[in-house]
Amino acid sequence: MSCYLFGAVWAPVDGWEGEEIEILGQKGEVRLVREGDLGFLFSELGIDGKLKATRKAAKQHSQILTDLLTVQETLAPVPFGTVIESEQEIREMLDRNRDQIENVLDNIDNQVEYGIKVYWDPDEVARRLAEESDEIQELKSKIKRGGVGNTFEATLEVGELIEEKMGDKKEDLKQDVLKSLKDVINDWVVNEPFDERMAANLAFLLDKEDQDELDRTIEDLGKSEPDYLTINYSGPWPPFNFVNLELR
Amino acid sequence: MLILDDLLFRIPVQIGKEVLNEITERAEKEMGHYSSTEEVLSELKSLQVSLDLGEITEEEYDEKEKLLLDELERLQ
Repeated sequence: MSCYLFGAVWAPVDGWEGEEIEILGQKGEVRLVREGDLGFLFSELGIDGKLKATRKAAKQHSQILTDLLTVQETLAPVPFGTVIESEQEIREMLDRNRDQIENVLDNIDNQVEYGIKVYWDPDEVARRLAEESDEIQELKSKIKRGGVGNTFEATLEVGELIEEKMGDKKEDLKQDVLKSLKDVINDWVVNEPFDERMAANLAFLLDKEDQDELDRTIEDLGKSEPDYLTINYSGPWPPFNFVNLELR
Repeated sequence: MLILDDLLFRIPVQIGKEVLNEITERAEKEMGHYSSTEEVLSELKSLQVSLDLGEITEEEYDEKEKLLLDELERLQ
């Protein structure tokens, strides 16, 4: 058996003891190892060898942490698949990393994370931006009339201009989102969009009590943005993007 | 003249080669062959986006994810 880790908390923890969970096809109980006022939530599972990071398993990990967060004020999550040999090793790890863990818990005290991903159809956006740009329209007309020295180069230039405008549009979107949320959130992280259909990818940290206000603000934001954008909004999550525990 | 040659010949040929490389790469991906872990990870991210946008079902995602994770294991 190994200890599958969930995250660090201030001990004691109420309302969770013996909570049954299922992850990686196994059932177990959430338990707490405690060293003074710090604790680490874990589950003893029969894990053998490499863990497969499927979406389902990662989702189970996130959901367990999110459920724990409803009964625990502050939780510093560890990444999916963090496994340690024994309870004794967890205690020793808590001891060695006490200062770091205390700092992290202080920084995220009673806060949760939400994520926003903004999606678009890149071809549709490119078409609209080209239509709206006098510079691009003029260049396209010149190409059609045969009024450019090198048609191929001019076509490349149109492509480059569109790319540039799409980059500007992404930046504007990001700023729109941050501006509309600045009074609700405590911190944010801008993640790199990882697909051409993704225009923005942000994570926010806010006090638990501000969640309803965030909902309302996001709803208003959705109404004010153009209809070719899709806003995907998720949370609450434990603050994955705001915690970087380097446990030795 | 060197510059003119570049514009008239090298760039279209270069682009021709790039297009052919891309076609080959896509064909390889269709057959489930990837040449690097980065490619597989990029494909996994793209799959996630397709799921988020409702372009595929969860079952379709899980099916494709399994193939990609097997491929990742093969490459690592």
